[in-house]
Amino acid sequence: MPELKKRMTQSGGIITHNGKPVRSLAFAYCVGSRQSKGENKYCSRTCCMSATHTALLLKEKNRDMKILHLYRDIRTYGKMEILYEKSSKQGDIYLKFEEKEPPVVEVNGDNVSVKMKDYLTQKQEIEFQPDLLVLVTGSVPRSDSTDISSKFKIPIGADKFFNEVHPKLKPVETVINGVLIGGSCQGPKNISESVQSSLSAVSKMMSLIKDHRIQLDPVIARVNADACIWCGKCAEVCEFDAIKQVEYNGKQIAEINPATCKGCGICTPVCPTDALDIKLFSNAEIESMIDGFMSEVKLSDGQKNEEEKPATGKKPITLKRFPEIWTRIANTMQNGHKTIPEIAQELGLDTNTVTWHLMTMNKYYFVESDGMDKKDQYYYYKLKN
Amino acid sequence: MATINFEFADDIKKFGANDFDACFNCGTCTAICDLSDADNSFPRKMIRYTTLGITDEIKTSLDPWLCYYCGDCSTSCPRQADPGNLMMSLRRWLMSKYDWTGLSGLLYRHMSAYIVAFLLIVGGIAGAYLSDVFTQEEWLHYGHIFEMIAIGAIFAVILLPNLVRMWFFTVWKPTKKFNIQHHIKALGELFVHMFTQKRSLDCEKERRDKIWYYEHLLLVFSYLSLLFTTVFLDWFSTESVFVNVFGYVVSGIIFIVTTDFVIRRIRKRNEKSKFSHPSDWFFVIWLLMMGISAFAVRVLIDTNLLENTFAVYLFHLTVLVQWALIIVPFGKWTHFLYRSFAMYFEKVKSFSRPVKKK
Repeated sequence: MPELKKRMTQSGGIITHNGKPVRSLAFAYCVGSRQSKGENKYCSRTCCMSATHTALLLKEKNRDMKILHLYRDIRTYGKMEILYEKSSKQGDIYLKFEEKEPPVVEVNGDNVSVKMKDYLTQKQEIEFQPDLLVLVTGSVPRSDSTDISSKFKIPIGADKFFNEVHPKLKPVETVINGVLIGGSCQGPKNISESVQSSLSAVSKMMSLIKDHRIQLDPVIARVNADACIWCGKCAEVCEFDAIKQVEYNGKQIAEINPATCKGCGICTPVCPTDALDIKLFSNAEIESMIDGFMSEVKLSDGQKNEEEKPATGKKPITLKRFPEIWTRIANTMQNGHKTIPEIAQELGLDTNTVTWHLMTMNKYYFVESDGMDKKDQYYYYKLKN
Repeated sequence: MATINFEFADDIKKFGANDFDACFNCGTCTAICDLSDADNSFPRKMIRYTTLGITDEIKTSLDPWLCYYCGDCSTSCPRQADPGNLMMSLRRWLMSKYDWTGLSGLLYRHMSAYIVAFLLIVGGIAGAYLSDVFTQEEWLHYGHIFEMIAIGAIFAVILLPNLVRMWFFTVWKPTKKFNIQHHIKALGELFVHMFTQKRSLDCEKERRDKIWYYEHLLLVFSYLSLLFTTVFLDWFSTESVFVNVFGYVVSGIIFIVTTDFVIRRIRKRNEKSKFSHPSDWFFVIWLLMMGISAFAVRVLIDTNLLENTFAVYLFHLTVLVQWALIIVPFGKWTHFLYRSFAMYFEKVKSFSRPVKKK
């Protein structure tokens, strides 16, 4: 493909091969891309557009040229769909193949013969001899991307492209503050997408510079100076070089650099003396949470009276224990419904306290409302059966 | 193994096809078509063959004849690729393939050929008249004789061999079978479709434009009746009142219906009449002129004015000769024949197809 483009620019658009004008030209798409079993699994997204666009340019200068497109799927998204439509309307022939039955190319000296099963013509086997066969190859990351990744600590994907934090929410940020990525180092992109993401990266960069200071993440590691014996294991495992050896009260301990620590927590399990903790997620906190989950749940030892029986439809939530005041409130309603002020008066409590408890009882299906009083001022409540 | 024929796409455009290049093979046309079924799936398949130029497949297929151009496919096409019009163009192309003389192809591809042929006939008749070979009586007499001979000759020399060729391409080549029983059993199909275009009702049923169908039906019968009255009942010199009146009625009907068809083609309101190939125009206009001139000639005979306005008869004769020598054997008229035979052959083929369980 780049070779064809080069030839086109050199010759002003008219394509010749071995001195003869090219009468028929075939583009073979997805060459070396989208291999379900091979190394390159992804779709490069830009090659279809590039090929259809080239076909339009070719046809402009070479009116009699017949252009074939051997494709698996066409991905000319957005406005580029117009390119596909135009190319189709100018008489280009599109032949579809599947990965399991790719076109077979035979080269006999200067003659190229292509045999393929066209999925759009009932998988009929079709043979043709294009003057020129152009391989439309996908884009791959630069060969030193692994090297760059290790230098800047940028996470790298299985496809060897750099990974952003989140494709939608943080599309140009990496996990390292101040290291931003843009353009096709993240994955195959066309020019406008590359420019957009690069501009986005630049504006992110500007916002860092303009601010004159960096807000640090609160969730980072901390060192218990008394426990630390400086074995150096934490500094070894730290991905971000955030742990350094310092002297403290006459002994060597670890120190966390708050600007580089990402709070990943890899240092905590390797520490032999449990001297490292992640703020807000300390070992003690996590352990007590686990204990809370694991402790035996004691069943309710409160009064088992009729209030606790399940209501129709909804299953009431059984509480382990409920306040003694609930029983008192329930007792006042034994002889019929009551309003909140009436209960308060009977129990000698203030209405706020009664309201608070009654509403909770209401929520857990112990009581239910039973119409308004005569003045239309308060709700009556009664025990739920 | 098929090879791609790059030239075919350009060639079929001369037969009237326009935007089929735009097709991206979604298959909406086939899905929406009332007539397409599992055995004969069209028009997507035909579009694909056209794009790739696999002419053998098209030549051996009857699919183009099974389409009545209701236009549902063209209106629902997401790419405006106009499959309906392509099917129509393929029919024209097929007619040129069936035609052993090759003249159909020439006429369809070049409108100028049509005009030259028309002018030759005008010149011939004008020349004969100016050189006073015949008297007016003789003109009428030989005109009538000519019609009979022309019909017989055209049928025997051109149309019959063409039908045999069609049978060879579409029945013999794909199946390599000849079963006389099947051919006889399916014969009923031939006559039903020849005169009624019954199948088109399957596709028109969804739409309100049934008027077209009845108009067309009326036209077919009127045309055949006029042919019968002028040729076999000798309308122009008959004394029978019944034949006389009948001739008036049928030629009047031809005139009225074709006028409507011309208006439809001018208005381009429905898909059927949106794209008119020169051959379509010639067909309706000549039919219209034939109806009107036949009517006029008989009126002049009845009012004894023909002697002084003999040009009207010559005009009628010219139209008739052009019709009989150009449009009938090489033009749109053959639709009538090939389509009904296509139904017949399709039925014949369907007998030898394995029966599918539903």
